[in-house]
Amino acid sequence: MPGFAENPGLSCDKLICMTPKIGKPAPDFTLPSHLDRPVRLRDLRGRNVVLAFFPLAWTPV
Amino acid sequence: MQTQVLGLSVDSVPCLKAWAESLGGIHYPLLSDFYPHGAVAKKYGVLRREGYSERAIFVVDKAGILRWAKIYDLDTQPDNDELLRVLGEVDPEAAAWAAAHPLTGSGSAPEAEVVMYCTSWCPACRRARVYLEARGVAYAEVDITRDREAAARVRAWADGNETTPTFNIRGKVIVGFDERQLDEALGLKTR
Repeated sequence: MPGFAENPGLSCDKLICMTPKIGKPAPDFTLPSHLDRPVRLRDLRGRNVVLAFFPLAWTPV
Repeated sequence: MQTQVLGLSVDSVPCLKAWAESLGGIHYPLLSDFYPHGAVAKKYGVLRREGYSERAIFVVDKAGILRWAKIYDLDTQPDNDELLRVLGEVDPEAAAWAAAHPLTGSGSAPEAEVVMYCTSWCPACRRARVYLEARGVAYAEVDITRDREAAARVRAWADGNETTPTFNIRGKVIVGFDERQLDEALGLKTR
């Protein structure tokens, strides 16, 4: 995926192998949310999902 | 309704809650990738050695297929226009819908006798829909992720939490999907 290789901060050993591929199923996960209920990616089938990773709360989003 | 935004960070749930509150409430789920630490960020290849994630956006389509990914400089704001353009490519219909339905308050509470405040992704809301439909109950649904004023009403009823589903049945508020309380409020026989 473009963008990964030239990013010096990115863990660039085994993690790269685990980087999801465009055109392949997105890795499923279930995580607790600040709105009290856990969210499972798979449960959102039928809708487009934007996953927005951000470094840390209390930093500019 | 056809696009769900999820925020993800390695922060704990209490931290995300406090942060969302400090910003006046965030109406899409902020997910806590805290334990095991950064496991989902790792799955997506965006966990940094420092222990927090990159600033990155992934777009997953309706079939669960990853369609687009981009990593931003840590201090760069992802570009909304770019994201809309990508969504338009992945799903033109959904992008048109989002453009026509900006996030706004509805201005007033719905008039229906039975109102369910919910989100599109909450499993308990799905069970509640099945429950209501099985009993032939007419109800109005309000998505609190799209209606900030409705979200504020729910917070006022649910000790400051945006708990879903929350019901307002002819003025009686029920927080959470509790069949016994619902049966009673709807005048249905309790088994």
